[in-house]
Amino acid sequence: MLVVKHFARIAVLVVAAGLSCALLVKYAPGTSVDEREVDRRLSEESIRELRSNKAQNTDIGATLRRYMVDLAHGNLGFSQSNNAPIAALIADRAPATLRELAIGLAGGWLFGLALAIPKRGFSVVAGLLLSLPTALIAYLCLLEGAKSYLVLVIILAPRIFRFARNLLAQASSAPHVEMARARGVTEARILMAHVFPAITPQLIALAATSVAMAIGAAIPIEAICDVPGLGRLAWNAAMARDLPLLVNLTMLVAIATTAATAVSEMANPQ
Amino acid sequence: MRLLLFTFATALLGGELRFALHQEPKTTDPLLMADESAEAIGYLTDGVLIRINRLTQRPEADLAMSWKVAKDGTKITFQLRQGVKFPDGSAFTAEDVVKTFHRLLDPTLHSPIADTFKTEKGSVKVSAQGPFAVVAEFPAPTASIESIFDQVAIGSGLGPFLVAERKSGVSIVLKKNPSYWKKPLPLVDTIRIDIEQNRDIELVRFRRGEIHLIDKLTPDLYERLAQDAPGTAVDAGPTLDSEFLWFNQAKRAPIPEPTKEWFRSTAFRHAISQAIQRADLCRVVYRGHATPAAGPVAPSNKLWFKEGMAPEAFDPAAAARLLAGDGFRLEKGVLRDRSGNAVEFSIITNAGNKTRERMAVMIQEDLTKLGIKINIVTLDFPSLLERMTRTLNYEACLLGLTNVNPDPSELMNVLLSSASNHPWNPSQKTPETAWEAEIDRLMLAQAATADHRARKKSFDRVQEILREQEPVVYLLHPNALSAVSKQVTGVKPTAFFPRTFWDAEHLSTTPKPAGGG
Amino acid sequence: MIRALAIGFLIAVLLAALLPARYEKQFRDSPNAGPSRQFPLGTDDLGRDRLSRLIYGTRVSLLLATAAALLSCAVAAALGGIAGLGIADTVIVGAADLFLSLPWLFLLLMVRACLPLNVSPMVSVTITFLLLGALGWAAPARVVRAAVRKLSVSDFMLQARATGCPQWRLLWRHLMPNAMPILLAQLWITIPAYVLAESTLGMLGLGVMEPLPSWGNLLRELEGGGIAGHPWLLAPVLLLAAVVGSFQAVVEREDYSV
Repeated sequence: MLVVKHFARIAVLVVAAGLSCALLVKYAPGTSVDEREVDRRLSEESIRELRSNKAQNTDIGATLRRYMVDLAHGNLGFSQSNNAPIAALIADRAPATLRELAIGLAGGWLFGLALAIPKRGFSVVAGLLLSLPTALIAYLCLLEGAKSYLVLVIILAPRIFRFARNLLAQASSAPHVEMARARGVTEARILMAHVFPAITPQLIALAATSVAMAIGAAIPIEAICDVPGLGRLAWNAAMARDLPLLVNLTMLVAIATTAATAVSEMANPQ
Repeated sequence: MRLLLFTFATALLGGELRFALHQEPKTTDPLLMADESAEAIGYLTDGVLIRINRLTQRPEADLAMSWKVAKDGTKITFQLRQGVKFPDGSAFTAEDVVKTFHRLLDPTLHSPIADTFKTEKGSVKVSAQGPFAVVAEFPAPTASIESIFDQVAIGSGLGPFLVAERKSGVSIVLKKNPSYWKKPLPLVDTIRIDIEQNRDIELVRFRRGEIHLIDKLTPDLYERLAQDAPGTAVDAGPTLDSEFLWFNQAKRAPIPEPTKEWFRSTAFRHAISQAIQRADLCRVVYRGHATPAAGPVAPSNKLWFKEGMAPEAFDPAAAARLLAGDGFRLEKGVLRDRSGNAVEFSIITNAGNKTRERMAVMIQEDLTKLGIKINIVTLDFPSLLERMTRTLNYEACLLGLTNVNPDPSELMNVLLSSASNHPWNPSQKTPETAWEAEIDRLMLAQAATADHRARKKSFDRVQEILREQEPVVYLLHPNALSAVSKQVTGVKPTAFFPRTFWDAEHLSTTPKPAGGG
Repeated sequence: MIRALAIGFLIAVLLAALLPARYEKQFRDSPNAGPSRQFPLGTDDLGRDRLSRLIYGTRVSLLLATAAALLSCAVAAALGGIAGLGIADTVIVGAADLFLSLPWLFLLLMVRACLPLNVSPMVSVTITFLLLGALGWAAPARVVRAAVRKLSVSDFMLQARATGCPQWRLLWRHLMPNAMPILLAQLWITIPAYVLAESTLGMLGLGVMEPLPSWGNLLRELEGGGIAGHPWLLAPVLLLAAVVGSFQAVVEREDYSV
């Protein structure tokens, strides 16, 4: 029942995200123009043709109808700015982003969690990393030849560290843990037997949040580091006012964000 | 002996040439190519009848061995190269040329290339005369008739390279076309073209040896490269491009009436032009790699530049006098018009172009000295275009124009008052001023004849009018800045697109040192 | 101790940021100059004094980030608080999710393009920041919601409720004072987040308009790797890191129960 409720919630929110995004693009300045219009070789007739084509593509009603028909046929529509089917574009670009997210998250968790266990030491480094903007970290890493997932690790690790440190601090000062410590149980055993089990639901919730965080960070990172992934695709779609592509990508992000919330809610039902 | 050495070198070298494009090519259809990336790929993979040599600017035989232009400029006859084969082994004949033009001129295609072959009197007619001769007949005398054939790709697979692999958003790999007619070219086996939007990263990768060429460098990156890796940064001299500022003079523009009135005043426009220090723009923003502009035509365009035109001299005192003569007065450091309105206007330009943003800031400071307040607004390109061409809701605009073709016909759709891309007052039904009417007349006259002297006379007068009226304040002509790795031999950088790989079939790469790149 | 130092440093930076600075003056004969007596941090590529730009940029970035943080925390407190009490919970959490998934970079792009042309750079940047603030409520609202939920079932609340304490008094005297530290912690965290967001926008060309300096467009000078041989270019990075680091030190340990 709970699962059904969450699915319904995800569906409603994803559709809402898609619609809001479509409205946003529709009324954004620059939606009515096609960059090719400034080609000086074009005759007035060709310019008129370009303009009327563009107007058709930004008609929300028509786009929506076309989208539904496309969806029924199992495809996601066509991206004008890339001159390619959207499903193919997403399939092409997703691996880079997924790899980046997977490595970035794994690394972020490894560092963040490992360093959260000893109580001192990393906090200064984490503080410093938290203080540099995503873009700057991305850039500095890039100039040193680092890959974008490393940038993601550097961004995520301190944040995961701060969350996890608080959770660990709370759990390891619980009365039964203090008692175990007083009885001479080893720290490693305390961690494994008492601390981690106690904070598992919060950690799952944190995992879900970190996924949403990583997705949010990926767009500027990809735009700046020039990763041929979904983030750069989204940035270019925004710059080109590519309505169908941007709506699809927004819905994709919405699925990830709402699913993360659902997981975190299910892990902490109270 | 020379040939032997040459062949030997070719066999030895092979290798891969690598460079980057800033955008994914939007189309693979050679007849619809409109963006620079697609044109670059097309340039490397397509065969054309006549190729304009980017170094000498002279037309050269490609798929046409020779050609003859009729005296009145309405007809051109091509003798095609025989023995040329498509990759599938079939022979190239006049039929392929006719088929290409048939498709190109299909009115539903809406190709920018096709539009250069169309006039008000109709479009060109192309027919075969035997298997290896083709005649193109124009409805009216057409100026610089050969140069427009440089853009038309005949069939596909007749160029030096073939597309071997395409990874969306990542790279395009071209391989040597084994059936290319200029044997034993091309010298390299493959060309790897990465899609790299970020110019800074492009430079980093160039330094690491991952890419060999950078076609267009910004002045600051050029300077940095020239310091770090001397000998790889190349200044191929002045381009035909220009950077300029214009004022919105459209009647229907939704901007305040007094502002429109300033912009319609010739004295006001001259005063602005005189108050801008073009030399500083060239020296500070372009680090010396630009020349102040006198008009739309760069002095390096020897064939069409009007002799004796000099850029407006920097003279703030003269500018102040002009303004005073036009009813403006300076009150406590603020310039006011006849009705007492403080002179303040905005300059829009495209966001993310650091060079242009810097120019705008310098112009802002120059005009402050006249008591004029400037607001700089950077907009992303679609928003900028919408204001320029649809809503006309802007005051002044700072932009640049890339000129590939030195011929005045290149400026036709900018200078005609009826054109949608006529910057200061687009799509006029009838010319609103006498001088715009005269420009229209002269531009149409120069296009309707093939007589160079007559055309030059008309176009000289156009340049004079533009200088007298200054609807557009021309600022400077940038130089062509590129980067060429020492691993590549044979590069002859030019000021015309594509600057570094226009003769890619003649380029070769030395093998990478072990462990490099 | 560290905390006191951090607060002292932040106050010093704020005071220094109020020093007079001619950030727009161009010394065109000495663009890209190294540090000298006249220009302690050198000049930028238009010959503008970097120190003046850093001083003024600090003022812009810090003040506006604080304003944006206040705005988003106020919205977060209101919405998160209501949701935490169980009123309209589904709607508010849903809205937060929606906000997190919308392409807000695009929204910023759009709002900037819609602004009137003849506004001063200060006005346009203020609008950008307020918009950032208005959009940024979702993440802190989640934290506030979780905290309020926890508090509303805590022993003292139950006790107060059992003794017949009226609803408004319950909120005003019991819930608010206890939720306040969490909210303040959120504020301290959000201020640097906005300083950073502005820098990110600046690097994407959506930041503060010229000639106004901000940390964002000062950081843009680092693009293209010009640091080698010009270590003084790192001054804004160091200041940014120090300021944000101080904010972190002031917060020290915040309640992050998700």
